Amino acid sequence: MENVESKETAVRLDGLTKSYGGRRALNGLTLTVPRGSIFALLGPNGAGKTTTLRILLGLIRPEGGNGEVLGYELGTVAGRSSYPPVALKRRIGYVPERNSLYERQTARELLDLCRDLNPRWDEATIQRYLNLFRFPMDVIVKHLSAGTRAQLALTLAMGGNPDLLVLDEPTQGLDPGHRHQYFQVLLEDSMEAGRTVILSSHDLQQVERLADHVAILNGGALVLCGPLDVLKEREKRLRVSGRPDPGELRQVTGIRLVVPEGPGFLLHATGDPEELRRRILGVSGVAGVQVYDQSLEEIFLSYCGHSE
Amino acid sequence: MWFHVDPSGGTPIYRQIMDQVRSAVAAGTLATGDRLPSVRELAVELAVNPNTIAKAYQELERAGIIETPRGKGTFVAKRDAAGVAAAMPLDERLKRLEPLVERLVAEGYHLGLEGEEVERLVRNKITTMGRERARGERGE
Repeated sequence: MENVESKETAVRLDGLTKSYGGRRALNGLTLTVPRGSIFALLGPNGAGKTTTLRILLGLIRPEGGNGEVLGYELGTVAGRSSYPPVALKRRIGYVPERNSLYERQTARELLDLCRDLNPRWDEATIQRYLNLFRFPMDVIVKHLSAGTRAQLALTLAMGGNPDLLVLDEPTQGLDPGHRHQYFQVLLEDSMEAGRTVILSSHDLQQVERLADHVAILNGGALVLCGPLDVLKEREKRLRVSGRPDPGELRQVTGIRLVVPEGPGFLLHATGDPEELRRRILGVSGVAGVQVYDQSLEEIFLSYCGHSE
Repeated sequence: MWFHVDPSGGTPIYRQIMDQVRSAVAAGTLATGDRLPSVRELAVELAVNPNTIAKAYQELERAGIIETPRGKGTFVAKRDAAGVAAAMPLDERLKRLEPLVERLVAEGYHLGLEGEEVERLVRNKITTMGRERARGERGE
């Protein structure tokens, strides 16, 4: 099969739909993952993160839409596609959410198995990980702690020296020290190799350190996406004092949410901070405006919070 | 290493790193010619995306606080006070300080400190930081 790979884009998804029973899991999801990025997929439970990752991996097929992974065309349910071809499978590393490692096998057996299956297997990488994590080689997976399983799963995924690494909630069960070490290793190895990393996570503080691109899903569709530093520059909270008409505040370009707060209002807004400030000061009754930076967690809540 | 990041605050991580370098240079903890860790080293150390570190370094270089002689590494630059003065008019530079002064005065007010006490504090800080810097430059 002809495979034309883009230099800029690792993954492109366009209008993906997928239902389970009657429930829509993906509702026209469109997004682009730049090559070499550390791309975080965020969203509340049921937003469609795991479904998206499983589609990339070819574990399930979308009902509609199309896409491309490292230049290979995704297939749909109807299209009888052969996605993913073996040549692509070998280039993708996957760390699944719930531990799907074979429970009755030891680390040694699993490493042997992966070594046999993958011609890209890199023994030097494996040795480095083994020296670092020092997990027991001859204990069956079932008896390993959640943290040790996470380390083993990463080791198995990195052994194939993947061009695309997919991590679904990778650090559940790791204590803070081991989590830091886990991401140090991940960064160190991915920087050198120019690897694209896609991870889903609820740990927004960790994502804020690690990711350079972020997508927030809600209800199976994209609600916010972009380079993290651009989002940080443009997603603001504004505290407004005075007695403006809240209806008028809502009309201002870039204002997404107006919440009465104490004697004034709290605004959730998107745009150039200076522009936003100037526009709000132009609303009659506004006495003053303060603009606040938001952490990724606050940005997330601003789009996916339950109330306000 | 004395770098640290706090992702729970709203301040972008690249700016946190910039602020730490700027403070360290002003306080003499980092002296002219001191070497900073490479982007790669610092990214791994902090478990922070390398692009974030690179952005902090680019901004610091643009501000003339650090320099990166080709392939040699990243170093604290010699301060070019005249250059800074030429690049930005005095009232603009003073305006940059105003929010900080406002906070200082407000904090002072709530602690029952006003006027001379706060002024003395500021003058003393300018003196001691200047002394620390001079000591750093002499390599003591």
